[in-house]
Amino acid sequence: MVEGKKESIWDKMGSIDYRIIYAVFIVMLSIPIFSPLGIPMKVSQPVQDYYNAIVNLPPDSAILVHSFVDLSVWADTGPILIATWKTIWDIAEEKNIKIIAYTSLSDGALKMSDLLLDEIKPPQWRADSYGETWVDLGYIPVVNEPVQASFAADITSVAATDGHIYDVGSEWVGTPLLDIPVVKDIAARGGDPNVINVYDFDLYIWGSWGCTSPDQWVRQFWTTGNPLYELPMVMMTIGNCVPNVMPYYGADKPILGFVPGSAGAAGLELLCGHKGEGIVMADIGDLAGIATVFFLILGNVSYWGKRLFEKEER
Amino acid sequence: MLIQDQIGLVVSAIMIVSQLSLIVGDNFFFRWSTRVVIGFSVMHALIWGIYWSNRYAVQPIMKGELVWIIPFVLGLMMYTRLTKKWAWVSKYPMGLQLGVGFGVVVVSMIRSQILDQIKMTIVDLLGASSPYALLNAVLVFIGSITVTTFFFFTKEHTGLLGKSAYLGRAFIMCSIAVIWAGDYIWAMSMLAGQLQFLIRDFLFGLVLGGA
Repeated sequence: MVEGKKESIWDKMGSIDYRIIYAVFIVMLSIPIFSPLGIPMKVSQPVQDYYNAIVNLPPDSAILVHSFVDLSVWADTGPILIATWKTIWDIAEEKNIKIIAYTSLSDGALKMSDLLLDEIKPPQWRADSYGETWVDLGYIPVVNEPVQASFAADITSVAATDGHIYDVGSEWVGTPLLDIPVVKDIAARGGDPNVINVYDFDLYIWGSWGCTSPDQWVRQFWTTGNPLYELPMVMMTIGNCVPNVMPYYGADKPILGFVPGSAGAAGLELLCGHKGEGIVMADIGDLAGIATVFFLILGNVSYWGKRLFEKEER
Repeated sequence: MLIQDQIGLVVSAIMIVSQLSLIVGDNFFFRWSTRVVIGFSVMHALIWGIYWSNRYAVQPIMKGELVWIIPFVLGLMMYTRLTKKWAWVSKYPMGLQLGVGFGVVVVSMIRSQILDQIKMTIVDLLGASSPYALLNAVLVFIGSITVTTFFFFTKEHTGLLGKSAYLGRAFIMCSIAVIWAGDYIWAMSMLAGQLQFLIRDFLFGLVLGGA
């Protein structure tokens, strides 16, 4: 702007103090916290597929669950994990679904101990049958590809014993993996009953906020092995990783379904019937979207106004 | 609520507000909280590193599983980077890690990220089950071809190649826009999570006593 020239309406629209913008966003994002709006929402196809992959598991299936707990992104990913576990716990006892779970981050192991005692408390029959129908191995640092490869080929090579840190089933802590009945049962499903590996599972439920993770897991759980592992997966992720997941998503592809961030978690909560944080976050996301679009329009009007009208004046 | 939980809430609230104070400009509280977070993160990682090294390496070694000495020593060799004189020693565990990593990745990468992707691009096109799926497959097919041509740098982007590269650039911009939108919504979710904590857990839960 030329010095001394009076600021036009277009300039004012395009140079709103960023503190005002932040204030508007904070007010908009706070509204659903005080009073959830219940904005109508549609469950997206990937979320529907994620849910279907879990609830439509055939009887006597075995699932491997990576409890995706990273406290730094908990606000966005926590609702997915909670809704996922609630969906898993709702699977009827008669289906005899066997579960092996773990976390790949150390702070995740701490958080899981709180969650499993409170928000995602297992149903009584699961709690009573820890070690028989499910087991949580606790923290296993499966975070880089060589470890993922070892984990896929033989879980005991990375986690020799049950190492969970909460009270449920604490008597099993330190037990060698293949001495745990549920692990022994699952290992017996594949080729070698003395080795527990990805051949023994029907579904892998996992999560990551690293956008290159789909590449890694697909490489190590789908296109490795002789014969190929080809373990179907469903994934918890964050919104900006969706473009990285899409190439692997589909009915005949490695990733059967995925939940992108807390907005996706809202859909999963609707499907499993346990409304929680995801619904609130979806409201917040919608309001944030409205505020964003408003400021985007304002910025564009400012740009085009300056370009069209100020040019004429000149 | 236990006293330690209350202290935790207060500390968390102070840290969040200090971080959000950047909105009004750089200030002491923002810088202080940033340093505290970094310091605690390093300490947290260090303590857990010692804990898990003990559990996965030291304890098995003490029980006679001597094979764990190898990764343990390799891990210790990494710390030679702290001295200029012995820093070269750290290149051995680093080289081993890179070599193993590359070996593990490269075999399946060709299949999962090149061959399977090419196959799926064609299969989706030929086997589309609905008009929407067909449209999607056509877009993916055209996008794949044109984006690939954008990265042909050995021939000048003129004529048909130029048009294809131009279209490819549009596809790249669209995909970047999707990534940016996802990133933005993610940031909003994170902000919302912190506001939720401040309003619900701290303000209503602690300050107003569950009002």
